[in-house]
Amino acid sequence: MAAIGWSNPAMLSRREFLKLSALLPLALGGVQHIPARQTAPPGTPNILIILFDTWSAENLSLYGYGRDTTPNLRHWAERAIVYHRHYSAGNYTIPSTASLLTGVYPWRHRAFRLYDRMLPAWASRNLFSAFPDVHRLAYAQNPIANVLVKQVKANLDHYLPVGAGIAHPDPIFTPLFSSDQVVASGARNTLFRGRHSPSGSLFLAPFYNRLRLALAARQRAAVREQYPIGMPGIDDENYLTIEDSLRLLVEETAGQTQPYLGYFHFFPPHDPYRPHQNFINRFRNDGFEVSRKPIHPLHHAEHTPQMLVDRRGYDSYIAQIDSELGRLMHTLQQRGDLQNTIVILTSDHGEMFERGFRGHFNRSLHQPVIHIPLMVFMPNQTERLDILSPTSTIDLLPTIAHWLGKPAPPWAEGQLLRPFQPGPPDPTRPVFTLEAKENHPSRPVSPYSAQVTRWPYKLTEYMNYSELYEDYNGELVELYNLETDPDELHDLAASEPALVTELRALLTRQRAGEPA
Amino acid sequence: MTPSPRQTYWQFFLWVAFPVHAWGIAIWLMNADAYAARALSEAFGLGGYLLLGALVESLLVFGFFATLSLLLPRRWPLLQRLDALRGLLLTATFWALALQAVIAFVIRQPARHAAWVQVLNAHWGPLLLLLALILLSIGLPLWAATRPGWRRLLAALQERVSLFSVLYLGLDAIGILIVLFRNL
Repeated sequence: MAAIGWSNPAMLSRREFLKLSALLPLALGGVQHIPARQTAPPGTPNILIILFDTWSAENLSLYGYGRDTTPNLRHWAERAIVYHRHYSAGNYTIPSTASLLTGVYPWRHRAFRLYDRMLPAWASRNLFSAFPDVHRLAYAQNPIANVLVKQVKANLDHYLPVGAGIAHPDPIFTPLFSSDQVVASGARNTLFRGRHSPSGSLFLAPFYNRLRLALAARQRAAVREQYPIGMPGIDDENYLTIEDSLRLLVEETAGQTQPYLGYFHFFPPHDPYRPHQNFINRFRNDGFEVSRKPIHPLHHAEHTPQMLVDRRGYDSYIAQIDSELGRLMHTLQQRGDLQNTIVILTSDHGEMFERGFRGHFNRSLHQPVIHIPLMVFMPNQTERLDILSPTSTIDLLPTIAHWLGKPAPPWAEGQLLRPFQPGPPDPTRPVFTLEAKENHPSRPVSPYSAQVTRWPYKLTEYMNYSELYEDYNGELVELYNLETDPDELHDLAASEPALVTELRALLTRQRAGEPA
Repeated sequence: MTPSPRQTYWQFFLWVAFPVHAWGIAIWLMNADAYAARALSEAFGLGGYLLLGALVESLLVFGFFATLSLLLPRRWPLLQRLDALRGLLLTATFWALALQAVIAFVIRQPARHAAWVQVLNAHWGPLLLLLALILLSIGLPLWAATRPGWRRLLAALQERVSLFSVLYLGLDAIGILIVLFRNL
């Protein structure tokens, strides 16, 4: 019988040794990517986080908005915990989603800029790495949120690429490069979409763009009846509907390994606001009056009639989401999921149409852009509970730990949400938001906008923006009493210097530990 | 020695690949900074996609011109047809660069763009001029392909361009590997 050379290590030939050595990195890599698995105790609930991008609490009738944008949510709220003062940790997707995933403020995870990732340490300290004994699945429809989800992919049991929820993807890039959506779509734009700068493709750009526009026109024609102003889309290439997106959630959670921790980050009602036909005219000529607010020194637009049209489009889109959410909750109830699943509805940031700001990709930290919804549906809950203490995106991680019977991870900065936290509410608890998209992660932030809310006061610092040097010596500080002035119209900074100093000290403390 | 048709087409492919790749790499260098600020791997990722795009574009443009060569007179020797194609590609490259310049310097200022469109809509003169330029762009290379001096110049250029193009094709292989790696 022929001897098998490497059955005895002493008999390994040099060639065999080299072959084996070559396999070592593969073996180690494989071990690293197998998620640790324990068994969760019986009775552990599923946790389902449903996040709608750009969903401002200020535009939901659930929270008192003048247009009835959320009749279904109000109905479902009768059996939910409704958080009225929930704040995002950033004013756009990257910092706030990173805070939700890590349970820390942006000062620590340092994902500031568009497409930034969290610091590498957070790839193994996050919502998914903290709970290895449940089945973890995640989907982010917004490609920039997907950058962060991909960063923690090694901690997931089931990762869904962006394309999974895109009903009509672009013909080439999304299907071919779905695992590398951000860089691939950046390359697509560099190659073909030279609107303001030359295209990387010398000859094909005009033809590709013709093809793209023709496909978009065909797409519009096919759904003209349902979506007369066009289908909602990402980057005007990938078209989606909220109906299809939520169907993905229903399908993915059906028959899922239990208990699971699911994170679904949907793109609507992000711009472009293109609601279904049934909602387009929902608020036309409804007599709704928008209170005029002063133009902010850092504004990037003027208050125009178009701003009112955009707000109406956004509100209509929210009304459609509300309708679809109602259907989703009904489906989950019918399927029995609400008996063993904690459902969390929230957002990453809001949207604004005032003070010379349109959208959210700006420097503002006013209420419309950071005040976000949070609703929690506990299994078999039958009564509504309203929570008025200020809460933050970073509170979700420790609370989920509590629901799963675990201690909060040591790095988490947030607190247990009420009513799960024992004892009376802490009236001095501050919550923070940081906007620093002009900053490199490894340097101290400047310029930046930061806010601290210690109910009822909210202080915002706008620091070191060049636009502020002439009139404000580089720093603008605003202080509002949200109890008496929820629209932030009366700045108290000049009349309350002691309070300003005290709240600014809290912000200074947050900055401590930044890189020198 | 007369090259074989395969060699001729290979040389023409290298001729096509040169401007496409040189432009793609220039654009990569213009855009890489923003990506490198996020992660160096993303800047290389962008480069990988742009090189892959340049390779696909080179193949498509080569295919288009190779098909076009069927329209050239059959009585022309192979090398003369090759020179005609090289000349046509030169003018096409010139127009493509001009279009990019228009995008960069005219279209980015919508008022100027609108003014141009208005002029083109209101007057036949500029349109006729454009038509004449297009005809000239096709006629001139075909005529030049019969001029020995021009053909010598093209041959000398081809020699130099081929070196770069082979290097670019090597880079394409790396670009493909980068794209594959990022999508596995």
